[in-house]
Formats: sequence, structure tokens, C-alpha cells
Amino acid sequence: MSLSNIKSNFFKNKIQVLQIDTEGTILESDNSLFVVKNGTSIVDLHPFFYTITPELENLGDAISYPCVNVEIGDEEKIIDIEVKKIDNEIYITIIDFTQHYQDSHPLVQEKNEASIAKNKLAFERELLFAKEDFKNSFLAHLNHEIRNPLNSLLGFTEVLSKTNLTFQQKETVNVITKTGTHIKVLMDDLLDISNIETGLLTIKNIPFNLNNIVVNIIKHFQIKQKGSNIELNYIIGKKVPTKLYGDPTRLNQILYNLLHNAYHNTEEGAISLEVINKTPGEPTALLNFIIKDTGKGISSKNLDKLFDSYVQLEVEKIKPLGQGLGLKIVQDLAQLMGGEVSVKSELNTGSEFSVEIPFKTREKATKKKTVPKGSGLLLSKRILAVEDDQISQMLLMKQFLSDDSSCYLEIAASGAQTKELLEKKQYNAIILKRKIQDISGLELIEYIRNHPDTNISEIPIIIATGMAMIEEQEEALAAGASAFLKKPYTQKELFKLLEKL
Amino acid sequence: MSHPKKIVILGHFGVGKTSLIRQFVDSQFSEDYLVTVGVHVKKKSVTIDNNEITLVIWDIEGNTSIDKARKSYLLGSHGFIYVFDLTRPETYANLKDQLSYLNEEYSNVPVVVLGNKADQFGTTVSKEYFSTKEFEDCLFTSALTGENVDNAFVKLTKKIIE
Repeated sequence: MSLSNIKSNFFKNKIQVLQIDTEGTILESDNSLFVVKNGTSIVDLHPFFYTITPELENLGDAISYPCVNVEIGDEEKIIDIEVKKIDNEIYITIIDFTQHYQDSHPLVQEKNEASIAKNKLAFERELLFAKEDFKNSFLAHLNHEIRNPLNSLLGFTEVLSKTNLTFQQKETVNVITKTGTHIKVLMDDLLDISNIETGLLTIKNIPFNLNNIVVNIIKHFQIKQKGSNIELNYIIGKKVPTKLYGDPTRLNQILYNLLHNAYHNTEEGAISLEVINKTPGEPTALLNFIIKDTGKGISSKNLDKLFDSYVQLEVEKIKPLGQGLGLKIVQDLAQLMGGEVSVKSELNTGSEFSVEIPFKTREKATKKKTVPKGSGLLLSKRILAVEDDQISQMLLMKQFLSDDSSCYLEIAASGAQTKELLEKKQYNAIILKRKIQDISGLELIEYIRNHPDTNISEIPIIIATGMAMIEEQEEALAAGASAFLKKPYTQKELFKLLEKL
Repeated sequence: MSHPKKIVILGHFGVGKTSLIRQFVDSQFSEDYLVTVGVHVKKKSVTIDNNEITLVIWDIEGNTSIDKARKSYLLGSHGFIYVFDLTRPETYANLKDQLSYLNEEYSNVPVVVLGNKADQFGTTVSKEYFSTKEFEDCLFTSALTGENVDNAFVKLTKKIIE
């Protein structure tokens, strides 16, 4: 067979040509692919052609319809259709590309499925972030809403405790204080967890003395638990370096939470804190803090859930584990510091919490900056508090009146009044809240700091607020606040800060 | 009987265009996703006010944007159905632009918008989410249950013969 014959046979099986009139009537067909009768309508071949016929009247040179899936009789084909006008005659060319299109089908299928899966994943991720954002903003809002009334509650309770009370009244006030303080601790814990989860909490790397941390925290619990039936001991191993780099505040928080937890679960016996260096001689010391108690212990089924904040709060509704959120924070902080926490426990025998954290050691003592110490006395200071809430105004007045310091308090109820008072009088410090009726705290700070009179622009400003998120604190300090006082605060904390400024 | 009306189903791939047609024409549904390459053309008649109207439905391959569709597929269309997937935001993120495009390029051709996979309301998606102005004329359909499928085609046919 000649090449031209082979070629001719190939096309004969792949291409069909039909001639039709403008009504769609078939005038002639070579019937290579589909058998049609002359004189019948092209639309009888397949519904596809229904929509071709209206175009025939105004047909230009040609129209192409690639990749048309047709079922004609028992045959399923994927064809390219071209409608052409040649010498005023209309021809339809049908080219069979079934094999070609079928071969490309799996590739398109795979590509589309991958694209759908990828977008689905991205959407789920977005949804998760949105939920997380909502949770954090809700938490921040709730925290703020609770802190303000809690500040009034604890503040007035403190004022009340300094009045002449009967024994029973004192006991009642003590219970209110303890309960309020417990809520405050929970609020602080929730904030810490939120800050850790959102990556806002960063670990410092500053020189500190381990001895001071351990001794101070032991002293704190010895004083706090004086009169209890629990013995508190501590051992710092001989090979433990005490001059370290790290975050003393967060280490203190870890040890505090673990000791607090130990006391919470122990009625009598002993609690101990032991520090061991697991890598003696190395520039980075892997310190192991072991806190043991002889308390009620934890059942093995609850051990896994111990560091899960949600489980701690929700699982045992009738009888909660009672650990608060402290252990979750211990685990999160230890992980942030490159360490880990583990626990061993036996029911009715006791528990042993072990925290391993690496710290860089330092050879020489870092020269401390000398900070002038406060005199312990506040020498006749005039303080301006910017406060528009009547209850908070009353609390501030009572706090200042019941304090031995010779501070003189004036209150401005709005931004306008603040500006007016600043022009008239000289103040040693301003206590400011984040939101006042006619101006935001940050705007007021900006006004003060940019004031041409240095007697005004240099007045120390304390931001006292229930908005206690880290970014809010940073924002206030960046705006020019001198210090941040997180609500609820005690009278002592307030005056200590005023003395410092 | 009037001349058949050409309806083209538009939308991203995987939104359920083929399933909607299959449900409308054959009252069938399959969970399997089989990609459409090119175009499938089906025919079905509907009766509106005692008039039988033949619909020639072009089920074209999915595209992220209508301007990527083959021009000849859209030629001579009497109506468009734009389908998006309620569970996949990328399929309705550019809905406004797509409808503007149709309005500009095919100004006299009516369009019906369908949010498909409505059977998944309450599981992965909430009906309230689509209560904004953008979706006010949208019909929520389910090729799986058949919800609103016939309504969608009838709605478009009525618009075509108006």
C-alpha cells in the first residue's frame, strides 16, 4: 500500500465531512464516522446541532467547536466540529479526537482534584486562624470587662479591711479578698496562655542569680504557709551554676505554679524543691527542677490530661481537678524556654513534677546598674487621676485617704478637664486609664508628651487599666506612658509605683 | 413549539455543574467527581404556562474565570446558569466580577446564580453567611437531594421567554 493510501485511510476513519443548507438539512455526507441520510436534519444527529442552525444564516468564514462529547447510537466520541462556508456552501467537518482527549482526561482530573484539595486546606487553615483570632479577642475583651469591676471589689475590700472590724467581719473580708485574688490569678493565667498561643510572650535572656530565685520563692511559701502541717525543703545541687542567663521572671512563674500546685494537693507531710545540673561543666547547663509532694497524688488516667487547660476546666464538672491553669502555663513556658515537663504520681502517696530547662552559664558577675532606692516615704506629692467612672473615683479617694503617705489626689473626669487642670496646677504624677469619655488614654499621653511646657510634658504617667494584653501594655509604653499598672491592683502596688516614679 | 433555547452552565471546576444537569435531565446523582473535558450537550423540555420549551443545555468544562471559556461554546446562548460551590470560597470569591463580565459581554442574556451543595448547610457552611447583598438573587441548590434544581432551570427559562 502506498503512503498516500495509508494516509487517506487514516483520515477516512477520523474525519467526516457533511454539506448542509442554511436550514440544517443534510445535502451530502461521506458517513466516515456517523451514518446519516441525505435530506434529514442535522439536529437529528445530536442535540448539539440544535444550537448550530440559528448561526448558519449569519455564518462568517468558520466556527470551531473543539472537544464536543457526543453519544450517537451506541458510540461515544469526543470530536472537534468545524462549520465552514466555502463558495457560499456550508460544510461541517467532524474530526474524531476521542483517543487524544481521553488520554488527557486523567491529567485534568488529577490537576483539578489537587487544586480543590489545596484550596480546601487553605480554607480550613483560614477558618482555624479566624476562630483563634475570635477566641483571643473575646478573651481580651472578657478579661478587660472582668478586671475593672474586680479592681473595685478588691480595692474596696482592702479599704474596708483597714477599718475597725469585728473578728467575724475580718474573717468575711478575708474570704472576699481570697476569692477576688483567685479570680485575678485565673485572669492572669488566661492572659498568659493567650499570649503564649499568639506568640506575643517572648522569653528574655538576661543575667540572673538562680540562688536568689530559689531562696526567695521558698521564703515566700514559708511565710504564706506558716502554721500548716507541711514541711518545705529545698536543695540546690553542688554542681548547679547559680550565675545564669535566661528569663528569671518566667522561671519564677514555673516554680511558683508547681509549688502552689504541690501545696494545693498536700494536706500534711513535706514538699521539696531540688535543683540538679544534668550537664555539669558544659557552657549550657541543663537544670532539672524537681518538686515533690506527699499529697493526694493523681490517678494514672488523669496524668495525661494534667497539662490541658480545657480539660482542667471542663472535664470533671462535679469534682474538678482543681489545678487551675497553672500547670498548662508551666508546660507552655518550659517549652518556650527550650525545656520540658514530666510528672510521676501515685494516688494517695504523692507527685513528682520534673522540669528540665537549659540555661547558659556566665563566668563573671554582670555589673549591675545602680538604681536609686526609694526612701519608703512619699514626700507630699500631688497626683492627678483621670477617671470617669464614679465607683473607681470613689475607690481612688478612699485608697489615698486611708494611706499614710502624704499624697494629695485630684480627679479629672474627662480629657478636657485634665488639660484644664494641667494648665493651672503642677502634678508629680498622673494616673490615667485607657479609655475616657472624650479622649483615649493614648491620645491624652500624646497631648501631654508633646506639650511645650516641660513641667507638663515630663510628668510621669501611670496607665492603670483592665486591658492587660501584652500588646496593649507595649502600646501604652510606646506612646509615652512611664509605667503600666494592671487592674486589679492593691493599694500597696499603687503607692509603691508612685514612690518609684 | 418554539426554537430550542441554549443554556450554558458556567462556574469553577468541581462545583457540581454536571451533577445538576444529570439531576435535572436524568434524575440521577453520583458522589464521584469526574472532570468534564470540553462540552457535553443534553436536551430536556419544560412546560411553562402550557408552552413546551426545549432546553439544550451545554455543560462546559469548569473554569476559574468565564473569559477562559472557549468563545464558541457561549455563542448563541439564550441563558446562563452560574454555579458556585457553597463549601469552597474560591468558587464565589470573584462572583461579582464574573457577573459583571456576563453583563458586559452578553448584556441581553439572562443569568441565574446557583450556590450548589446546599445539603452541606450546617455541616461545613452556614446559610446566614450568604445573606449579604451579593447573594440575594442566588438559589441554593443540591444536586444530591434535588433541592431547587428544577426551580433553577424553570426560573431561567421564564427569564428567557419574558
